[in-house]
Amino acid sequence: MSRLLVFFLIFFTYSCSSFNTEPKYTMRTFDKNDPKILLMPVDIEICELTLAGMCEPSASWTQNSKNNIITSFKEILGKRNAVLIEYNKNGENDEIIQLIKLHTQIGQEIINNEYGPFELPTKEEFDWSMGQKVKLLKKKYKSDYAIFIYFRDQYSSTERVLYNIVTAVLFPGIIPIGGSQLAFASLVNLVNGEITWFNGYYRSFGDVRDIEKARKTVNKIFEEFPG
Amino acid sequence: MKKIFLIIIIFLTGCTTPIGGAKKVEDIKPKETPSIETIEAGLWMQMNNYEEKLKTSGSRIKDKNLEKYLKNILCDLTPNYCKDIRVYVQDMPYFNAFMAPNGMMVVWTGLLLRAQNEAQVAAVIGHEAGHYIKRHSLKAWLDAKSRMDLMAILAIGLSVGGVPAGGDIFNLTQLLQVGFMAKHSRDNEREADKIGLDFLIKAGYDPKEAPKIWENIIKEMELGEVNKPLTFLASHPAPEERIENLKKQTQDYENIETKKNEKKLKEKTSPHLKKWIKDEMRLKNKVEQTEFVLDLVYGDNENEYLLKFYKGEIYRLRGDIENNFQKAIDSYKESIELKDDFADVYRELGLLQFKIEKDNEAKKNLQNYLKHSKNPKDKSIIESYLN
Repeated sequence: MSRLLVFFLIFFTYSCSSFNTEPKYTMRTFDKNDPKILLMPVDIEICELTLAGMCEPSASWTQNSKNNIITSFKEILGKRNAVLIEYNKNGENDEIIQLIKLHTQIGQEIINNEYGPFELPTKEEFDWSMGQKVKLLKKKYKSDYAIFIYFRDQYSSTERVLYNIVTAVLFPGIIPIGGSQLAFASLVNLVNGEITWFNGYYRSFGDVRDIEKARKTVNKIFEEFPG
Repeated sequence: MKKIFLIIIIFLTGCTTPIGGAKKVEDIKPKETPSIETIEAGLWMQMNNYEEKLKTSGSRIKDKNLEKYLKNILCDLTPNYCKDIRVYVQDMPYFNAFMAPNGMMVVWTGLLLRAQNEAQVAAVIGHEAGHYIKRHSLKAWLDAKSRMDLMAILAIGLSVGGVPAGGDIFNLTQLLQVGFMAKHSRDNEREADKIGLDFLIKAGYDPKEAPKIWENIIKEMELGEVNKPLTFLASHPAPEERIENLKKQTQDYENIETKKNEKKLKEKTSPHLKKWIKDEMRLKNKVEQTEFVLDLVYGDNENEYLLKFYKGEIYRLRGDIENNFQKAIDSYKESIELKDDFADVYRELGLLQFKIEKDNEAKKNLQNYLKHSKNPKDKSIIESYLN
């Protein structure tokens, strides 16, 4: 029985081992009334952990979760003084795709530098930028800001959960790997490329496949969002 | 307690996909896309995202002409799947091409540099199309998954049965895994080879060019003293075995056509050759290996002066050891003998001669460089050497 106890302890500790960022921002309220905010395509992939822990991408979960995240974000924005601008997939071009790729890179750098182990010794203020190219979006969408969202999530299959229980009980030293969630979002000023608000986290709980839970998750990401 | 776990383990074994189940996967039909709940749709989604990134990647050769040319080869080989497969060229100086489950085919520049004619490129494209049609990525994923699952369960099972966990058991199960996976992968390669060859013959290409690619690769590996992968563990059949199989299969066909389209390929790749050769030389392989690759590119008499020039470059770039500079100068001079108005060779020869303090000859050659090149960007720098 003591092994079971150990297992639950491990499981409990593991669930808590995650980094949770505090939102970073250069502005608390919008610099104009009812600013237009462009919602960029959500960069998302959801997978299922197989028994042995391989990450099997799931198209239907990804599609569902994407819709849930977008719906939840729209609800959040609806409560603030801002106007949502929809992204138009047909008007996409290479330069815009490059911006989405760039955001993924910058977001990961922000996490590494602002919250993670690679803190830049001389960077004291939160001053990150996507560069001047974002003006493309301003011109194309007549928008003041753009919101970029990045999301990766894994969920354990039933076999994985059972397997984790068995290994945890048999080999108390080994911590089995469950699913984990990495998410971040940036609000970018389209006049100068400045990232005016950023938030992200890495944790081993939460679910966006279900709209109710997705609401909670998205609310968590958009804590202290300006407006 | 042990009994309970054994029961759970047996239950877990029941959950896993039966090994070999992947074999039942049927060929993909033209225009077919997987429905969203399937594992295949997940793999497609991931590769679609990857493709989106590749499209705008700096490593993609954005030469529409070249991409269109390769796509036309594909469509000639397999008109039915023409619309399902997209061909990209990626700037990588190694011999490789790969096929993603969603229809994204990527050909590396190192392969195009080594291909002696269109028939050889077609052999590779047809082979990759074979992977797509046979859904080899999906099969490989399903196989890997079930084998990994089994390994995970086996590791627990053996340790519950009294054998200590980790260490040897882990190594044993892992070795079995790798061996099994490699075998499946080799079977897939053989299957794709067969399909590729059928396409090649139907489209009127000389099928004897297919084994030739592998013969060249073997020669290159030998010259570069590159260790051949162990047959048991390699994911591809040994090149020798491949050649044998391909040769055997061509014997079954009568009245084989011999279309090679050598010129057509060279015409499409010529705008890039200078850069690709530079990249190849940067790998700093053995001199003999790089020379062999250059022979494949400029082996014809018409361009022998370029072959001599680049051979000179190989030696020059290796620095002043083992008499390399003298070897470079000799090779440059041979190039000039074959063609006396090629500017680049005068430039490198002149600059090298300056380095070894043969100033008079150096100046003569740099003057020749300025004489034969049209609006050289480095004109003022070169002139400063002359004064």
